[in-house]
Formats: sequence, C-alpha cells, structure tokens
Amino acid sequence: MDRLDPDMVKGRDAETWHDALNQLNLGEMPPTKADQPTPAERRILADWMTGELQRAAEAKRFADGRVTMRRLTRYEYRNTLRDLLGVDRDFSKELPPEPLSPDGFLNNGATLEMSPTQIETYLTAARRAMEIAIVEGDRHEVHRYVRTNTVTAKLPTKKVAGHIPVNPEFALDVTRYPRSGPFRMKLTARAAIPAGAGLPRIRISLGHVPGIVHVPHRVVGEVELTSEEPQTFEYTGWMEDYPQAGDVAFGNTGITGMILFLDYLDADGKELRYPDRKYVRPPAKPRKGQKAKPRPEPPAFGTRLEIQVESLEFETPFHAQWPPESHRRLIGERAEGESESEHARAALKQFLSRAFRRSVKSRELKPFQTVFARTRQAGHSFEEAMREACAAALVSPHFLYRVEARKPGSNKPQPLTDHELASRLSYFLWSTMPDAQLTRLASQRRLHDPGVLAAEVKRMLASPRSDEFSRNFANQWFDLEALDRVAVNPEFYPDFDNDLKEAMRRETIGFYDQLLRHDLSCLDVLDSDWSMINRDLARHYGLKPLPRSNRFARVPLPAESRRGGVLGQASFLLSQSGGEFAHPIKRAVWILDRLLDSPPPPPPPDVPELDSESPDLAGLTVKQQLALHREREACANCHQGIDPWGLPLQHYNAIGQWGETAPVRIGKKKAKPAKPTPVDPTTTLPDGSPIDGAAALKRYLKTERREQFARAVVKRMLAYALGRSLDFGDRETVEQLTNDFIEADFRLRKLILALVNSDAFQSRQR
Amino acid sequence: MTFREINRRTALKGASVTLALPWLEAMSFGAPRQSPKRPARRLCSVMFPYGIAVPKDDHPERDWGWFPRGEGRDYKLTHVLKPLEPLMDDVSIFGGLSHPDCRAMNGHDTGDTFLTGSRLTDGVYKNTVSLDQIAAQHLGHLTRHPSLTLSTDGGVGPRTRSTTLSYSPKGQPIPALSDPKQIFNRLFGNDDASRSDRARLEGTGSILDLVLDQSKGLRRHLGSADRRKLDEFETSVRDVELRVERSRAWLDVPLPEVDAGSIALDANPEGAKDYIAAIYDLMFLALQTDLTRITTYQIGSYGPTVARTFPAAIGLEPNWHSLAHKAGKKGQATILGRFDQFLAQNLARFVQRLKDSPDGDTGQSLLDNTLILYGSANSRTHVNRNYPLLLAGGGKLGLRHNHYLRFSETTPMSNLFVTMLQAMGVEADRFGDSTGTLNGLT
Repeated sequence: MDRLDPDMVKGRDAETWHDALNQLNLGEMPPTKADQPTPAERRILADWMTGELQRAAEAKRFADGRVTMRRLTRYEYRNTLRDLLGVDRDFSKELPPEPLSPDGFLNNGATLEMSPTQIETYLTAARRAMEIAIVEGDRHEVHRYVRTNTVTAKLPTKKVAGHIPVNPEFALDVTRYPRSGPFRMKLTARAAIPAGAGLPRIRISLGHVPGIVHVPHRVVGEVELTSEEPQTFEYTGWMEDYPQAGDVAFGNTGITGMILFLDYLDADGKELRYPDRKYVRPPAKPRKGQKAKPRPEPPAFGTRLEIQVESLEFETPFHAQWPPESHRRLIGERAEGESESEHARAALKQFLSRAFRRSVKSRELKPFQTVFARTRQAGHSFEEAMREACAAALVSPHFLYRVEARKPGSNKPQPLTDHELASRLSYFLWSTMPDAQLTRLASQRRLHDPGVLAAEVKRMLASPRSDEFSRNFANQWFDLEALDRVAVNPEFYPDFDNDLKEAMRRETIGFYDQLLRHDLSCLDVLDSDWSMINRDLARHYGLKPLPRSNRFARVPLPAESRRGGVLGQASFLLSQSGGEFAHPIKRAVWILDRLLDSPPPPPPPDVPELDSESPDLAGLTVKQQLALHREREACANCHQGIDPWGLPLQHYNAIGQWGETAPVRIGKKKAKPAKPTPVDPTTTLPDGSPIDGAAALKRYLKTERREQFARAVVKRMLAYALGRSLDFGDRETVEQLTNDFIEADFRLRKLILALVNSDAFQSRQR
Repeated sequence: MTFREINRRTALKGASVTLALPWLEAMSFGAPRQSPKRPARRLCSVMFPYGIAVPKDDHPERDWGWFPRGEGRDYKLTHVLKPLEPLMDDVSIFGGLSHPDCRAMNGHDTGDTFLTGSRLTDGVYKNTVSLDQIAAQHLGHLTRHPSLTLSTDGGVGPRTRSTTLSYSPKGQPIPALSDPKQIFNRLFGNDDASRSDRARLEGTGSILDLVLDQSKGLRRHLGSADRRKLDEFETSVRDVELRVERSRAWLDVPLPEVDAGSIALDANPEGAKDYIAAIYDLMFLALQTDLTRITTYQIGSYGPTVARTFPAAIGLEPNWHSLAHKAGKKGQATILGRFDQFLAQNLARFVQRLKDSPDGDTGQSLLDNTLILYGSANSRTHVNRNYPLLLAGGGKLGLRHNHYLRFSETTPMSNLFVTMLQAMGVEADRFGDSTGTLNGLT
C-alpha cells in the first residue's frame, strides 16, 4: 500500500486502491500474521479510500467529456407529442421501459439508449400520431348514447374459474362505435350522504361481454360525490385503449357492442347495493302454492347513503370541432393565391421549428419538402403527404434528442442560445417542450435577461404543467418506483391491498408538491407537522378520525407524529423493506443516499450473505440478527456505519404500519410470523449520538445534519435539471447552491431560481 | 432477509433489451433458398377446440377415445387415430401434458394459451409470446413471410375465445387469415396489400435516409461523448434500414409458380370437408415453396362461430361444443370419436403429403425437417389437463417416434415446446414455465 500513489485522481493506482479496499473490507488484509488495525482504524482507512475513489470516478467522468445530448425520456416524449400536436393521447406506451441511471435518474443522457426496436416504435408511433392529428374528408359518423335509468341485465353475475363477474348498478350499451378514436363520457349524479359518513364514489368502466363468464374491461375513472345536488363529470379517452368485442355476436348474450358501466362504492371502497330498487332484477318466481311476495318500496332518497345517477352519456368519435384543433394547427388554411407546395412549405416550416424547438433554416426544410413532394407524386393526397413529412420530423434526432450544438474549436464553456435555454427550462420544470410564450421570448432573445428569466420561472411553477416536475422529480429523488419492486407477502399482511401502493406514491409526490407550491421549508422532508393524506392511507396508518374524502388533502399532524416527514411515509417504509420484514439496512442505505448524500459503497464481491433462514438466526429480532452480522469481519467495517440509521425505524413494519412488536421468523422456510417480539429502536449513530426511536432520529437529522441534507437536495436537483451525473467540474456550483439554499431557509423556489441562473445551467460545457 | 440486497444496485429494472437477429446470413436477396447441406426447418401447429372423449379402459366405447391403449412402444391406436397408423414411424403421441398455469382457468378459455401457456384470469388479460412466434423471431427472416397464421374463424376474435393461436413477443394476438382465396393471394399473388406494403416501405426508406442525413449534419457540432450517443442512434437507424431493405427485396423476388387448380379455393367453412382440406393444402404449399417456415392453424375457436358446425360434415349434430359436452354419456364417446377420427384423417393426409415430397435436393422428405404439433387445449371438455397431443415429423431433426409417451402432471407442456425449439435449431433452454426438455423424444 505504501507504494501506491495516494492521489487517486491524478495518480494511476485507482484500480489497485479499489482492490485494496475490497481486501480491507473482507478482512483479508493486512495478513493475519501482520499487526492488525483496530476496527476504528480500519473504518477510517476504508472511509478515506471510499471518498477518494468517488472523487476519482467523478474526475474521470469529467475528463471523458459529458453527454449533453439527451434523448427524450418516455414521459417527456409523451408530453412533447401531446403539446406539439395538440392530441391528448399517450404515444409512448409501446416504447421499451427505461433503466435507472446508477445514481437513480430516469433522465440521465448517458443512460438513455437507442435501439432498432426503439426506432421502429418511434416510426410507428409517429405515423399513428399524424393519422390522428391530420384528418381527411368530412366528419365521421358520430355515435351518441344517453341513459337516464339503469339496466343491469345480460351481464354475468357468478364467479367462475377465477373470472370476477361484474355486477354494476348502472350500465349503458354502446352498440356501434369506431374501433379507434376519441370518446367522451359525461356523468351526472348526486348522492345522499348521512352526516359524518365518508363520501361515496362511482367507478366508471368500459368493456364488453365476450361470453358467459367474464367481462374484460378497463376503469375509465372514479368520481367522488359530495352533495345532494347533481354534479357533472366528464372524461375523454380512446376507444382502442379499451377491450372490444369481436365482430361476431357472442354466446347467449347476443351482444357485439361495448358496455359502459358504473359501480357504486362507499368511502371505503365497498360496493353499495340497493336490492330493493325495483329495476335491478325481476322478482323471483314464487314457488308453487305460494304467493308472490310484494316488493318493499325503497326508502325515500335522503334517508340513507345512496347514489343516484341522473344521466350517463357516451359519444364517439368525439371531436369538439371539425377539423380538429390539431389539424388546424398543423395544416391551417391555404392562403389565397398560394400554391399547394407553398402552403406545404409554410406549414412544414412552422411544424419543424416547433418540433425541433428552435428556428429552422430553409436549407433544413428541403429534405422534408422532398418527402412531401415524393409522397404527393406517388398519388397520395395532400394530407397524406403532409403526414408523411411531419412523421419524418418525429424520428429526426433533432426531435428525439435535446441537442445543444457547440461551436467548433473552443473547449471552454459556451453560453446556451435562448432557444436551448428555453428547452432546458421547459424540460426541467414541465417535462415537455417550451410553450408559445417561452418560444417567443427566446426568439426575441430576452430569456437570458435575469428579470425575464425569474418571471418565467415564476409563471412556469404556477402553471399546472409543473405538476410533472413534482411527479417526476419526487419519483426519482425518493425512488418511488421501488414500490413496484417489492412484493408484499399476503401471508404476513393478508389485508394489504396493492392499490394502496398508488396512494403511497401520491402521498409523497403530493407532499413534495406542497413544499413547492407553498414554498415551505424543505426541512419538512425530514420531519413535518403536516402531511398529505386521503381516507385509504389514514386507515392504513390508523389515524383518527378518518377523513371523509379519499382525495388527498393536507392535514395537520400532532408534534412528533409518526407520520411527519418522508421517513414516516409508507412509500419509503414499504419500498425499502423486504415485503415481509422491515429492512433496516435498505432503509439506512436510502437515508444515507437520498437524504444525506453519502451512499455507502456497494458490498465487496464474495461477501457471504447472512442467510436469514439459517438455524442460528431463528427467533432473533432483526436487531439481534444485525448485531450478529456485524460480528463478521467482512461486514463489520461498512455495516457499523449503516445499520444504526435504519434501526430507529423498527417500529414501522414492512408495509409502514406502526407496531410495538415485530414478527420474528421462526423455524425454516415459509414460516409464518408466529412470534411477535417487542421492538428495540435504540441505537448509537456512527458519530456517537445515542438515538431512541424514529422521532429522535428525525429530530437529529433536522438539527445536526441540515447542511448535509441541503447538499443532498441540491445535488439531486442539479443532476435532474442537467440530465446528467454530476462530476468534478460541478463541485463549486454545488457548494454555491448549497449555501444559497441554506440561506434561503431551505425554500425550493429560491433554489430553483439560483439553479437556473447558475453557469452550469446556462452554458454548455465540454 | 438478504443482507447484500442494497437498493441502489438493484435499480436496473427493465433495461431495454434488443433482440439480435441473425439476419445477415439472409442478405443474399436473390437466392432465399437454403444451400442443400442444411435443409430448412419448419414448424406447423394445429389446434382443435373442446377436447376429446376419454373413456376408461374398461368402457365399452374405449376404442372411440382419442388416447391409445398401452404406453411407450407398447401402445395400440384406437379408431380415432387409426388414420395415422401408416405414419407412426414419424409420430409421437403424448399423454398427461398440459400448461400448469392454465389448469385453474375456465375450461373454454384455454384456446388462447395453447401455444403460450400463460395464465389469464381475474379480469386482467395478459397473454405472452406463442411458440411459433419465438421460432419466427429466429427463422422468420429467412423467408418472405416470417410466419403464416391461419384459423377457420379469422381475425383475432374476442379475448379468451380468440380465433388465432399466435401471439407477438408482447403478447398481442396476431390476426389470422381464414379465406382460402385471400390466403392464396397473400402467398402467391400481387394483390393490393403487397402494393401498399411497397409504398409504405419506400416511404420508410426515404424517411430513414433523411434521418441519417440529419444525424450526419449534427455530428460536427457535438463533443466526443455526444458523438458516441449519435453513433448509437445511427447504428439503430441503419439496422432498421436493413430490415426494410430486406422486406423490400422480397417484394422483387419472383414468386414461385404454383398450380392452384388442385386447391378448392372457393371452399368456405360451411363445407367443412373441403375447407379443412384447402387450408392444409395451402399450408403444404407455403412450406413447400419456402414462402414461410412457420404456420399455425386453429381448426376452431372456443367461441360460438362457424367451426362449431363442423361435425355436420360427416352427418353429425352441427354443434361441436354440444357433442364435446355430451361425450361422457352413453353412446356419445362414439359420436365425438368419429368426428375426431375425421379430423385425424385430414391431418394424416397433410402429413403423408409432406412425407411424399422431397425437400429440395437434400435427399430427405419435407416431413423429415418439419415439426407438426397437433392437439387440443382440453382433454375431456372443460378439463384443462392431459391435453390430447401428438407431434409428427422431424425425423432428421433428432426426434425419435413411434411411441405413446405418458407424463405425470409435474411435467409442463412447455417442456415439449423447448424440445421442439431446440430441434428447430433455436438456442432456447426454456419456454414459460418449462422445467427442462421432454424426456424420451430425442
């Protein structure tokens, strides 16, 4: 080791240092015959080596040059096409899913790849999108259906061979419809809600009846009713997204059409049934010799929890106007005296500059005009030729990637053009292309003006489009996709409903969104006296009284509530657990990585796993198991620095509920949690601070680690905004922004403003 | 608890996977025929619905049950499979096989999963890739049509009663052709469909040219890391371009000339005899002329469609579904058995033709290099176990025949699929829930 160059950044021994670190962690070095370092010395050495290696990795990334050309992510592609064409349809569905970058981002340019399948999918999506956006001929025949009373006939009611029957309270036959295209449904309903009862809901589904036993369908939406006054709800969608019948009439139902149907649910998701309503089913035939029983009159509306639908309406294909807005926007009207090719040229020019998010030169326009002309000459219509030319633009690298072209020659940072800055801003805060105002300001070259920029950031954050920022940034910061990677074991948690995962995700996204909307202190992530809760989650958490609504709302929490901050939220607690037991190590790594920006190094190769099914561990609490684990040399170095961060959260079980006891695995495989054992949430952090439970940990983080937390937030947001991993060259920026952020009392809006004004954001670097 | 399972490292979820197609060997556009040394391998899958009669060994109607008596080499065909007797040196019959994941499904839902083995229940319909399409992924590039999907009822049909056996790699049903004339034109004629294919392919070609030009223009404005990203893009575009080129090249290859005179192209499903014969004839022609190497044919769907009336062809009640449901009653196994015998006659004729036809100048027969999977997705109707199954052909692909192999329920039918794929030269070691290959067949 003495012969290695201690400078891992400039020296040549980084690889060897990496091996040495693994040997050290494995306890294989120094050799047993030599003098052994104390555990504390061992850890100091390991920490130093880890830190230096990280620095070296960043330096190497910097020296290799950065990836600045970023392909649009799936969600950016979806949003961009929607805004470019004015067609509200998700064209990204067929694209392959995207991997997370090593530092946990979906929008990292280096990780976002391209493949032939991807290109083929883009091409298919582009043509399909243009088919929808540009229309030909007259308006198609519109099918419109309205019902003001209910039918429930013809639908299967028994569960057979695993098929869940549907048994709706209200159904509408859609007998004729186009196989694809937009639809609109309108629902007018009211509800009688006894005082104090939760708010009932209507679930709307669209599907068809293929046969005798099951009804393929998809949920269109769920609406919550709040009053006895009729309320009207509207949904739009696409026929092709819903299961459709074949052309042949099927089985004994004789139905070839689709069915729109409503299920009534109470506030807890249980179906509301009104068997006394006369129309539901014909009365059963009386047995021989018996008289038919008179059916009781249903009680008057208002005397019980009851939903009444006044009307249900379905229209397809639904076009608010003809030709649709997208068509007008893309093709417009041919001006008087304008030739067809002039018209095409003008329309293409406008389209390309929007698709490429910058101004387009005449020279660039040529090849697209050629596609147009060639298609037209092949005998296709003007519209078809325009579709083909526009589709070509949608597979161009100028559309699929966010390109920031460099002037050749210099290696120094170069300022972005106004259009490039507009794109960076727009994809940062909206996850989509710049809107008309941003584009106009960019064309006028005013976007670099700090006053204009600040006003734009303010406007953008006020726009509903910034919901995408909350959703995508919170998702990637807190690793909410991890929720889908954990399977909750129903033997352990028989009442757990997987739909709750979605509520958990929305709680955390909503929490972050509140921080942003109301410019609250970001320290609330560590602990807060409020949270975003709906009825389902409140029930899951055991909060009382239950909110009446299942919509998320901000609720105050008592001081040191178990639910304050992200550490009290099930999205984190469940996603960083094992689906059976709480997982203090996963939770600890998450805290270190996501909140404190000091992720522990990955475990060295060849480390033996602790087999939780081994007889040695049977009957031990998790804390005891971990203690045993730490006795092993190979694990000790790192785990002494990891485990204490997760142990204080032991009161939260694997699905995030609070308990004074936790299950202990007994015996061998598939053992049920037969033996609940009291939880011991006390620990001592690596810096010597004693911690007794979750509240103490949160308090400690909020007071003792705020600067570290601030840096973690800054680094996450900067990496997200730039779409690349941070490196050596970003250190000063990070320090500056961290100071600004702390000085601004941890307000996100100030951080965002400082960030977009930074050189890193405003210039392109090598 | 797994102590090494640190979250950051498990983050590579669903990385996009690109399938590397070995298509380069097919780039000799003008000569799609294989060299005589390595004959083409072909796969044909045929399914009929509702199952068969399964009378017990001491039942008076036992000889109208589908399964042979006995086991192994020591088996005796019943009346039903008797038509295959002269071909048994090229046929294996299987007992006890089924898809474990489909056993709990509704008894009439399994047509969708005959070649996929996926579980479809609880309102969420999600199928997976079918056997033939796996083969098509590997061999489809070698022929003008990667695969040919046929069914009596055509299209894709309603889910759980689908009218196709083929599912794409994403689990989407692939529409089946049903009209003999249309199938013939698709294979041998220059109909409108191929003309619009040509226009579309040409359009795609010029779009890709344009995109590549743009990429080249962009290159000089980028740093080295970005150029690598652009390389990735250009390689992908070129790859697609070659795929398009290949498709386009096929459009220029002259079609084989065949004599349609012997095929009853006017047949329609209302005359089951002629219709089924015509479909087998078309499959035979497609394989013989090497227009495709992969075909599927669903003789009937599980839905109340025209194929239900097929028993009328031999003078029985025109309701296959009802015949199958009654097959357990007295005298009824004989009736369903007679119809199943009729189906076996049709199959035997097809197999015989392949056996009688030389495979190019290889000195082998078409049958030697063709696998024909035949069977139903029920045994007794509504029972999703013990499918009646047989495999014909492939004598030169390493398969041993002339036996009745019986398996316990622990052997998934997918093991047969794995063995078949391997015989096809596809390097597959699993399919769905397979646990290995099928014992006794190789």
